[in-house]
Amino acid sequence: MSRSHSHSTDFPVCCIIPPVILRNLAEKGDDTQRDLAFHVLQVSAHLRGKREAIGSFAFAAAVSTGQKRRTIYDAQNRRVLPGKLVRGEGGPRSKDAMVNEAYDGSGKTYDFYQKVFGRNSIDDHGMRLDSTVHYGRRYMNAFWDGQQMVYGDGDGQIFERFTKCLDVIGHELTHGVTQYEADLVYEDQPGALNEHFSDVFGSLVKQYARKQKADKADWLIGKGLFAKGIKGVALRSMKAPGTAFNDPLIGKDDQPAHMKDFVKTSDDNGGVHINSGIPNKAFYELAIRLGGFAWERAGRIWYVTLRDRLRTDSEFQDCATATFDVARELYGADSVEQRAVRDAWDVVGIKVGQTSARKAKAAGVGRLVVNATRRR
Amino acid sequence: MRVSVKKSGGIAGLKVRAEIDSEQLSPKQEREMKDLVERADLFDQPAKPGGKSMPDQFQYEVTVEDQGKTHSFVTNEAAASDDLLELVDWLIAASKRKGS
Repeated sequence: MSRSHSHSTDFPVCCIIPPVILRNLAEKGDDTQRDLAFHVLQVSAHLRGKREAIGSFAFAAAVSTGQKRRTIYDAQNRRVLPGKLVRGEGGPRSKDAMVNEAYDGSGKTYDFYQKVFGRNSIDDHGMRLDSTVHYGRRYMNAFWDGQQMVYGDGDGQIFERFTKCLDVIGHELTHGVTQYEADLVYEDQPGALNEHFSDVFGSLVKQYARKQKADKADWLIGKGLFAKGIKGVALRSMKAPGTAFNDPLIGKDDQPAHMKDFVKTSDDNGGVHINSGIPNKAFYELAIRLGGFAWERAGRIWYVTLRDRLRTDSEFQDCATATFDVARELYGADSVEQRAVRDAWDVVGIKVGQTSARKAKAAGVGRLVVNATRRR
Repeated sequence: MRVSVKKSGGIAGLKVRAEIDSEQLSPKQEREMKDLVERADLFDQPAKPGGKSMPDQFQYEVTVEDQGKTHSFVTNEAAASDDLLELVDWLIAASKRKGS
């Protein structure tokens, strides 16, 4: 894969331009210069793990809050990113379905994060949402490359175009959110959690757009992505991991739904798309237990966990314990929500808070008010 | 010469395997394969990719055997050269032709 050097977010740029010039551009440059400077400052600061080092002035100057900015590129069936610019924010609809789906889908995902969690884009600082469509020839995949979303056309025999499903778009964009928050390393259990959070929020973006309650949602990821003739409903099922497809050409969905079936493998970065079935099932169980709109309580607990509690090397047990603690902080010790979190993880064979909830109650720890805005 | 590849990952997490022995190919295909293998520098690939894996990209496990020498390595889309990706696609397509 190659990346064209005309792209404004190209990494070498961040190493060449001195930070002082970038800060000046961020404050005083024209729109394009400010976008560039802002992005480079933030990416490089993030890579150093020192977001604070940039200073809030640059953000305030470079970006107005709550603004949605989408850019769609066309790779014209080559493997070069980002490709040719084909639609910017507010630009007219294209004749190309993939361009419009990437534009609308990233917009719906932005709206979900903004309205439900008060989050301003992938980085929570108004980052531009870049997507490239028609990547590669009959390319059967979609991915997040660390800077943008990328979608292939599919081959028409196994997969349709990868912009077709809103939850797939939400999944890819959430990989960006994870990169800017817990930054879960993409292998083994932390990698499976990275996948899990993308499935959770991908599904919630779809449920939110459809105003669906938990018991009415399909809990499928990528429904309609398989071409006609493939025996399968979707890529994954959060409700029943391991049941999404079974086809002679592509094989069988082998996601486990319980820790006893955890798969040890060197494929797929340690089975990141396989073992995500375990936490996926736990989230589904929580959402069903709580009822109503899944993004309101279950989604909030998971969002705060991803944003504030996990580290790059967090594993399933760390995640489960963190959601249990967050549920207490948001809704109270031994609340309906906290008990539902414990029961949901129990379904997949992960134990949390066997005694801590009762202890906390006995010690008189009351409900803490924590909202989903960043505490910094 | 024999080259095998196992492709895994991608958003769907599907596995695809291909194994091609150049001796079983037509002379034209054999030339194509040897040319692709040479351009992809298979024997010079490090055992593991240098950089991080990016979300939903493919992982490739490759083994090449030629004139008594064997080399195996794991790489991914972010680390692989265009020539290597082209070889992988060619091997998978050739394997499908063989199977059908």
